[in-house]
Amino acid sequence: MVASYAQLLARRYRGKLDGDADDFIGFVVDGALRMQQLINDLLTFSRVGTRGKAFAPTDCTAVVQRVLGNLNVAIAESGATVACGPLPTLQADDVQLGQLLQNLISNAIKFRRDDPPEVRVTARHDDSAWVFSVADNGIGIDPKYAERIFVIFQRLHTKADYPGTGIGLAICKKIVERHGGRIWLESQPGAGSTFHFSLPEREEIAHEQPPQPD
Amino acid sequence: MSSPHSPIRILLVEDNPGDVRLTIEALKDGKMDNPLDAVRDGIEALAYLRQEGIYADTPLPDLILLDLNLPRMDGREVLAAIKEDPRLRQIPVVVLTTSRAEQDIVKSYHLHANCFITKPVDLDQFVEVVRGIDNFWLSIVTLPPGSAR
Repeated sequence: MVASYAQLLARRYRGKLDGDADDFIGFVVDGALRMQQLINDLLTFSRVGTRGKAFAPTDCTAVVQRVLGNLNVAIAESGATVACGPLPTLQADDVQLGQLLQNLISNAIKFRRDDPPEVRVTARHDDSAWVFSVADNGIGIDPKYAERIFVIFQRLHTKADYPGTGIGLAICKKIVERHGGRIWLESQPGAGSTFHFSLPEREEIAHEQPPQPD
Repeated sequence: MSSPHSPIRILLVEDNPGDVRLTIEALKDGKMDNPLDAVRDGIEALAYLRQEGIYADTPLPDLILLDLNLPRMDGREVLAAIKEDPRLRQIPVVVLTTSRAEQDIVKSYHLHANCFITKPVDLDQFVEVVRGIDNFWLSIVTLPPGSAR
């Protein structure tokens, strides 16, 4: 509502009042859109625990295909290529797995360098877990920020440089931890990033209950 | 820092351009025209204060308004760095943040912030706060005498 009227104000009065008014209208529109995004992301974050589904056999390749469909505009606009290696079927919440992969792939596209983004999604089996990797050729991250980026609201860039609420990776971490795994980063500035996360294998149990929310 | 007869300079460390503009408008509203520089994150703030790179000829500010939630290096780390640096620690730092969290208040004072102010949401109250800051720190208080670079 707020964002809509802000945009209506902008549409009707931009250029018709003075320069200050145009600036102020701009701040109102940006602020309203940002608040909306923040509320949505916070709801998603809090619902990871409260609205998680029971784990069921999940075809990860199908999840990635669905995610790429959601991201088709960003992929087209950036000229991104997303390659996907063979992925397992495992016990998981398929909606949350989709959110997790969508956040990671969308970040890989967003934080790109001048070249078109190249993203690779792969998985390998390790002990009793599957370790997924989402690798990109983007701007990279200084290893000293490797823990901090998963903390909610912690960002490395201003909103002017890259849009975002600073909640995406916190959501990823919460989802991975709900599944009993962990998430970590391998990166160097200017040399791309690879996000790894592990998902432990689970016995398929008829009425498995996921871990209780914390 | 400025000499006794030059206007008092303020450094605003704030990543949100909307908030920077609000602070400038609030100062204008109160007819206060102190030179104000704004930097968008903690790393730039320290470069400014250490007079590195493009800031080599920039005089030190007389007052710092510091937001806590900044990208890359957050305000708490900036505050700690300022108060640990013998060249910078005498500059009063007013933490000016949207946060009302008790742990932020405690942490800021623990790191030697000169004071902590929660930004009011209401514009009129915000203008009063900015006027109050200007009146207290720049008129009532005696700031340290200017030091040579």
